[in-house]
Amino acid sequence: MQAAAPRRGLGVGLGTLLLAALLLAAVVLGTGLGSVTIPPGEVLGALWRGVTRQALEGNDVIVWQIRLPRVVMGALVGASLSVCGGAFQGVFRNPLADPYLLGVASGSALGATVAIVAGWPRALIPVSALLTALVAVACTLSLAREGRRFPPTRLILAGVVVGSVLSAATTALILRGEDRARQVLAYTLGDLGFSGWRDVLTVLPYAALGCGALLLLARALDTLQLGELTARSLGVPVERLRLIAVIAASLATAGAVAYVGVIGFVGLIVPHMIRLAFGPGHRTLLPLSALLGGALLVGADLLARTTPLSQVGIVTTLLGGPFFLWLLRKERHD
Amino acid sequence: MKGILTLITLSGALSGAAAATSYPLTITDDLGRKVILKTEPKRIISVLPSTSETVCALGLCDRLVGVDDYSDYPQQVTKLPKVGGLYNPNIEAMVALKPDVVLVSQYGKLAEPLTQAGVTVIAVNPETYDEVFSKTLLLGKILNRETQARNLVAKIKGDIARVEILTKNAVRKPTAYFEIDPTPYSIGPNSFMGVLLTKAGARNIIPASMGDFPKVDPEFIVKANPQLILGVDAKTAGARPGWSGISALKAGKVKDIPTELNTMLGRPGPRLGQALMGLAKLIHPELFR
Amino acid sequence: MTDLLHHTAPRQPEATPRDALVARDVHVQAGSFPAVRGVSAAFRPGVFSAVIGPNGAGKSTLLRALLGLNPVTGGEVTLAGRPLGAWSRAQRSRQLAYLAQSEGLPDGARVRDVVALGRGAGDWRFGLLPRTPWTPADEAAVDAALDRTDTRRFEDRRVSELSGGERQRAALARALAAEPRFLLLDEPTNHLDLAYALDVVRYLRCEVAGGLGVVAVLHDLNLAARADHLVLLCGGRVQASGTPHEVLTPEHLHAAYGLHVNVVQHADRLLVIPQD
Repeated sequence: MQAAAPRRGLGVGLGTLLLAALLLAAVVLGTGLGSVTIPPGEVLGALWRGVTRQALEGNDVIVWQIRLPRVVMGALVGASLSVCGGAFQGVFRNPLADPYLLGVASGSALGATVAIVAGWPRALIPVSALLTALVAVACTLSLAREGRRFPPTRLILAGVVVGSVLSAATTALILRGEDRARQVLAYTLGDLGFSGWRDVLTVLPYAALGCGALLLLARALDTLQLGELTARSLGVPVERLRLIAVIAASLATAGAVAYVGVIGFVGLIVPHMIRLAFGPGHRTLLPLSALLGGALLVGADLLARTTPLSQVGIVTTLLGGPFFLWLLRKERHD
Repeated sequence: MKGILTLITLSGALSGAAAATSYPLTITDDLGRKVILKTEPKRIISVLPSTSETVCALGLCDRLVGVDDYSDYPQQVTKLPKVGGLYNPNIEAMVALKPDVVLVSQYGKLAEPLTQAGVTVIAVNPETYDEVFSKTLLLGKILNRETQARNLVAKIKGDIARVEILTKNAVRKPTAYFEIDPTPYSIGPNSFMGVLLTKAGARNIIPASMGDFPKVDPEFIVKANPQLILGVDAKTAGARPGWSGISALKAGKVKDIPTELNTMLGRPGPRLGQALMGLAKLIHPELFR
Repeated sequence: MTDLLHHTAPRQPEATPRDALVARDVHVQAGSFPAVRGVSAAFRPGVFSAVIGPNGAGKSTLLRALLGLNPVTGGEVTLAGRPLGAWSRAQRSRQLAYLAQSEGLPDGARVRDVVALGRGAGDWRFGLLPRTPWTPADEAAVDAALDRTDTRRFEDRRVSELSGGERQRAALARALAAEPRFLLLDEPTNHLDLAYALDVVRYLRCEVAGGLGVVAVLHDLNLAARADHLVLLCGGRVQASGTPHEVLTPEHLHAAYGLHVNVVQHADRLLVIPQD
């Protein structure tokens, strides 16, 4: 094989290193900083005692039982939403698709709200979220469908309609369930508040299963980018691919949304940034989106904890809105 | 101490000599609107539970012709026509009741449509501890019950003073975290409930700098390590990450607020003294044996 | 170049060879509209066939039916004597490559990565999970496809940086990477200027010489005149088929397009000139 010509953009290897470092930095900062000031030495000591299962002393509880699981949860949720966003954009060949815009997130939120208001056990929240997420995405797709195709504009409009209807239902529930109203309200804005290790362990299988399946489908998704007919001519069963990818993405989204609420824009923005830097191949797009999405959400939650912005969903929306506008302008100029 | 009490009672009695309100009365309400009341209101609608309580405490329960969905005290008001809540007010029903005045909160958007419909609207909205008294007096003026209002204020202050006498000298005032909703939100010391918490003999872990109704970072609560937690049930608190080591949990001092007390705490109205008493009994049961 | 363009008359045995792609009385419904109504045609390896006809004649629909992408509502398509339905999706995708009218090349992707996608899902599990590893044979096929379309020198460029002609050659390389027996192209010269269009035909000619069967839907009759074998469709039926000399006659073209044309011979090529 002849020597490869110099590649444009960042090398994937270097990019992986950089993004992994970014995620690590976010985790370190997120664990080291908070509304309570704890010196770095103490943080390290706490982590050591946590990992080695020694007795926790002083601020150890804050670091090991509150901050670290919250940071890990943030990374998990950010990674899930970003991978799902990237996969949705690939499945529907639509740069605007993401869990939020397709109504999947709103669907999950409704299911989770039902579970919270009805006072079901915490472990059932993601199950309920998953069921409604699947119903939501089925509604969106059947509304958007035109023959075998899902035209981008129709898809987004259908997603917005389904999302609005479901959000209205969620709001109605919130207004009825007065006692828990504020909790659910905070939840719909996206909040990592009381994420403990138990929640992390509950969400982990959803994230791992959903994102893992999507990573396995990366090459099939690449092939789909050539066009539906071309992909079919190459032997990719497009309908089956769509179905499995949508279920996998709904699984990961439901897990993420169940305990943390609706966090907008992460799933939209992160894959775009990765695509700009490393190209559209899903075998790099999906894993690198996971790294960047994790880092972004941990950082956003740190801002939420230490500034009056107060909720991670508010931070991501504040960051994401302008980026989205920039993206729209850029697409127009290109 | 007894001297102060006598003084308060005395001042209440003396103020009984206040003159009757003369109509038409012009007042500036809590929305900053200038409102003219032509005559003494005989048909009153209250769309704020605390206002309903105050109106009744002024002896005007039988002038109420309608209340909001949440007004439930005293028992008498539950039989009145309901005119909706903050988010779903039934404006048509209000107009149909032909009220002389509708007493609203500064929230919701009732003032404009009702005024358009020719109904007199006054926003009276006690929010802070001190406003409970000033707004009671204002209601007294509006409804031509100034004497009763002064007596009511004196009675509330008397109730409070009786609790404070006990709690002020409590040997041990626990540090306390009061959760008003599980997001979690808590109360600052300058808020209505925060003042009651302090008067009931607890030291609020929330500093005034965090505001009146701050969203609290869970790790801040763990760091503050309160000796008493109010507004959460023990099971929920125990399940929260990192909370099992908090002093309050170790000592079993986690207390949910009973529904009735919770209602009273949420209403800056005439039952302020009772609310304080209930809270003080939760915090210092030993003082009330 | 001239050699390739003025390809000597191809051998066209009358009997349908065993390895041909054959449509037998094929009907295809597009919704409630019968787009293809009883088309019979045989396409052979090593032959450049072109499907021509006016808009709405059913050309693209027929092409997709030949690929097994459109369900056939009557008649059958056979590949090497076996009905298309009897081939597995994987086997079919190895034999028949498709170049769609506007192939969706992802803008930011590297040319080489796109071409590699052409190796297809042939032996993937469930058509979704690629088997590992990527073999040297795969690598060699990609290299060959790049070389044969002269796209090797910009294999590391991104698709968005390519000109229209380069883009179409990259798409061609993608289709060739599967090493198919037949390549079916839907208006491959659409949106290309004359030079690029001739370029595409030249590359296809090379592949045909190497034994590939090409079936191209073409709009430009003068370009189609360079094919070995023509099928003229009109209203979903075959108006005429055979060599360019047999098909490109004023009579056939009038019947198909409703237009009076002159067909003149220039050197040994036919030129179709519409009359005003």
